[in-house]
Amino acid sequence: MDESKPNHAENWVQRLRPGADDRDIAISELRSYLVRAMSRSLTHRYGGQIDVEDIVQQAMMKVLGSLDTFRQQSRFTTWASSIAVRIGISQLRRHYYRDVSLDVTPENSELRMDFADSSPDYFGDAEVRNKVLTLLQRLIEETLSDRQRIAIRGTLQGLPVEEIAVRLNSNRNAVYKLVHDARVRLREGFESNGVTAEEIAAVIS
Amino acid sequence: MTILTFAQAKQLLTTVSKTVPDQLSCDDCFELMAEFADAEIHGNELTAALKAVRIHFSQCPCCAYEYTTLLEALQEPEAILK
Repeated sequence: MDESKPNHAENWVQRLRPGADDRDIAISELRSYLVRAMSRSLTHRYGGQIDVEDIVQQAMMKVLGSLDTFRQQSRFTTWASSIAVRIGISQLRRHYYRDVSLDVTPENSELRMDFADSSPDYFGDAEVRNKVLTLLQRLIEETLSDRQRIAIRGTLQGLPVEEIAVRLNSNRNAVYKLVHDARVRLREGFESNGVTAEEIAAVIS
Repeated sequence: MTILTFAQAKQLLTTVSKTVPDQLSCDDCFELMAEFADAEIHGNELTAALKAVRIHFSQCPCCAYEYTTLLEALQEPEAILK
């Protein structure tokens, strides 16, 4: 890679360090780049209620405060963009889902199948369908914790895990693990009860 | 009590049927996302660590969505930096 080019990672880090000769120019260049990149990628998502300049300002502070953690395994602008995207998407989600409630009380952790659901789009074997759904109901009741049921319900309402985490007073990593472990338990439950992948596929196809 | 519609049950069954072991947390994934993006953009062979990122994307719609957004951001011409 040509080290004279501005996007060379090491070059960026050097130029952005306090005391660098052209630090102000480097900051201005990076800010301009991120504003254009985030305007293109964020403003049509989740309703687009976002102040790109504000997101970029937050990202710039994060980038400038994290230069020592940049591992130089990617282009610098890719790394900086990933930070801005995460900040921007989080803010967009917070706004977009602010009115979506998720009752997190254990009393409301119960999930029940609606077997009377007419399911006009289902044309498969009703016996297989009932077998799979009955077992799914039982596995949800017997193998998942209250918090797992609540988190699963949140995902089925369309809530991203980071928004479920807010409502559970938890964090994104923990809720992702909660949901993933729940899916693993359900999958293992189907396997141990002899329900085949083909039978599940028949229900969801 | 929450009643699941058949459509929601199908959605849950779909995700359950696609569930595979995932070594990464969302933060782990984020740490590697820029490297993964550049590797994919330039057609580089993925290391084991970056293959784990791809698996995480298949399990975590949140991270996959952020990655899609990042790819769109990176379409920005770099001419502005010259």
